[in-house]
Amino acid sequence: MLRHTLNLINTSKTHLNKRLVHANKRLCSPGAYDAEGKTTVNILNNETELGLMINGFSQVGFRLNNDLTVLGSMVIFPRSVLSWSVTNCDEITEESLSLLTILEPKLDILVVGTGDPQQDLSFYRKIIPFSRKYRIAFEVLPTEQACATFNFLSSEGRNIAGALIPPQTLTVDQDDELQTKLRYQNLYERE
Amino acid sequence: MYDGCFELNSSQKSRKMGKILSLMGRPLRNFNVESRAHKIISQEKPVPAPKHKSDQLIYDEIMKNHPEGSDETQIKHVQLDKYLKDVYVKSHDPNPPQKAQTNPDRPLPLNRHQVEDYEYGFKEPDKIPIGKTTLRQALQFITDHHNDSKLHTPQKIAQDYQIPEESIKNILKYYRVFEVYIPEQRKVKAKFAGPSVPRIKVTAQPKKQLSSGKDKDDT
Repeated sequence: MLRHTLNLINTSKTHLNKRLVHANKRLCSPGAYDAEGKTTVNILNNETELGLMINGFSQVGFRLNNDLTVLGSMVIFPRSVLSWSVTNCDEITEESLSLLTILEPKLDILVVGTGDPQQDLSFYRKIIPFSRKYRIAFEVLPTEQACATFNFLSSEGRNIAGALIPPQTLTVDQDDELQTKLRYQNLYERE
Repeated sequence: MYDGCFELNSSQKSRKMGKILSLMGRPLRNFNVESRAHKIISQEKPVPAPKHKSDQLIYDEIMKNHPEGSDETQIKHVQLDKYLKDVYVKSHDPNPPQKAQTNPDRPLPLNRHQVEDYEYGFKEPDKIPIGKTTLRQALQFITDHHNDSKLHTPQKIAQDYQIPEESIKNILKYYRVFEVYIPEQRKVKAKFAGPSVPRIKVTAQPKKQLSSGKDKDDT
């Protein structure tokens, strides 16, 4: 069952995320707001020119917006993706992040998806000296939030990377179930 | 508020009426317009337009008080005319505009086309410091190592890309390119990409076989 991380940008006058919309010139297309009562919704993941985005995730991997389902952990860049042999949060070490420290140009921010939410601060204690040593800004989040954060930061055109581990526990709602069913089978077919 | 609204309506109405009237009057106004215009243009000296009433009064008064003034203006003043002809103005600019010096190493851009998106979403550097790598290079050597790990050993990659061997070993250990799996059982739009696994290639080599001499004997 895949949990969805669809990112909607509602460009109506009340729900406008101004900073985000102005930062991205492509989203400020004329006609986003036509007239009184008329609004347009841009779905970030459907805009292919913004690069790779994460559409959903499950215990086994991630679904990207180019119909590719990645199995296992991954390191995702705005336009490329690499497999990452890390299965849990304890394996995120200096060695396993080695590629990201020697990249030129330097990353603006590294989004780390730790899988399930962290119970204590031990991971942060481990990552802060590393962050100071290589001068890399980190955003440590549970994978669910990290996916959305990556999508937004990537759409803003930043030089970022997302190091994401699939979570072990998922909370799935009815909409997720429906979407998964719609993707894999005909809902109205009798078995 | 209601009055204002009404006023707006009435003014709109009058504007509309004015347009209709002007449309009706136009053929009358334009009657014989071309020949009238030719008549005026073909005059040798244009007739000056009549003065305004107040101007005419002042003019008449001046003419009455100084009748000699009007004669003076009609006569050409030879001396002043000569002065005017003798004057010749020469000008020079002490500070001519300096043309900006162009640096041949950093020429100004001439291309005005829209900048295309970069392949990896960011500008790749021209010079890469020793011990660093670009994403393009990293993807290249990870793929190379996966395709032929005997040729592209960590030592060789470290030498080629000027990166410490230790970090190359770590990168090759933790980062892989993908292999695409397409499910066979049912039709799914998705492609599944898993980490590539190094495989041993098995190639069948034809073995030399001894031909049995049985056939020969029979014939």
